Amino acid sequence: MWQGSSSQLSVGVQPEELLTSFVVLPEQIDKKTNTIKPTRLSPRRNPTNKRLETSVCRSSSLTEAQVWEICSAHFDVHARKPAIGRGVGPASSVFAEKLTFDPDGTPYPQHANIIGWHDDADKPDNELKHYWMDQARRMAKKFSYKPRS
Amino acid sequence: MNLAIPMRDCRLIGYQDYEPVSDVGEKLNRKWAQEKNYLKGSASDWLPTVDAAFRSIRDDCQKAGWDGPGSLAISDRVLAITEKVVGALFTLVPKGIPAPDVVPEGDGEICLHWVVDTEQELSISIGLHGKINFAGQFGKEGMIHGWQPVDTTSATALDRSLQEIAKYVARLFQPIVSRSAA
Repeated sequence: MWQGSSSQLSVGVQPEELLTSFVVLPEQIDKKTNTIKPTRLSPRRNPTNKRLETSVCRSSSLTEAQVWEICSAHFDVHARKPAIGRGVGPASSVFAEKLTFDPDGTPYPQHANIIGWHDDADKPDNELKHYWMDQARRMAKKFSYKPRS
Repeated sequence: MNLAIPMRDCRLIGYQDYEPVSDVGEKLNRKWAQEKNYLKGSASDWLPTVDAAFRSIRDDCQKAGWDGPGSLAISDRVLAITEKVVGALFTLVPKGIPAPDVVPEGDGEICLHWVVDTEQELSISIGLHGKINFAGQFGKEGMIHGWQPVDTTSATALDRSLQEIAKYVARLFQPIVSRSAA
């Protein structure tokens, strides 16, 4: 199996790079606009460092086959069903929301987390979520849906 | 607490103006709204659409990890609350408004999403914490986002707590009358 290579990746994510977000269910696709639903880009709190993160794959330098190899190895194994497709959008849509990236390269070289989401230690997540929904809503419009090949 | 950005007030039609003063009045008001909107089998009926989505969520999202590493299971309780909210909103919004897309979320909650086009949409997110988070855009009128409490202890309390959300949904689909058409 292709294990991935970080040789073509810049240290930081560039605005012109394309990002992939894997889609598991048809409900995560907006059929009217052929984009992914904003929920797919909403962050989850990392239980280890408590940081809000959205997991994405830096896919500009990958072939379609390589993208789906990564999905099979690192995403499908956790899900009840394999991903049916992916949302593909520019990193510029993330920067437009004043968010940034942690290109951690774990568990595969192209992995990155979208970080910098609105946070407030004095408030519970269920009173902050609307901030994330608002940002994810605008970003999701830029993520076109592509079915799995 | 509602953190929504204030927008011009939205006046809904007919029964929304009636303010019952007793429990009996509230029950009658609710019944009237249900009868007015509940056209089973018609395009106005949300139930067939949302039922299919709920079945899909029950089948696919009740184990942690369904949406990749770290995603939380969607519990029967979240599904039950969401079904109540959908049922209540159907009776509160004007007839003819389409059913929302029902979208499972990786944090164990469920999102209801109405989309008119890329500039007009509304999402509400429902969990077990008694709050609804919402975010939306109403074309050139602007954007909103915020949260508000939701009371599921009775049908009447639920209706009361969803009034503002129902107004947002109605506003999303209100007809736009252009000057030339007027």
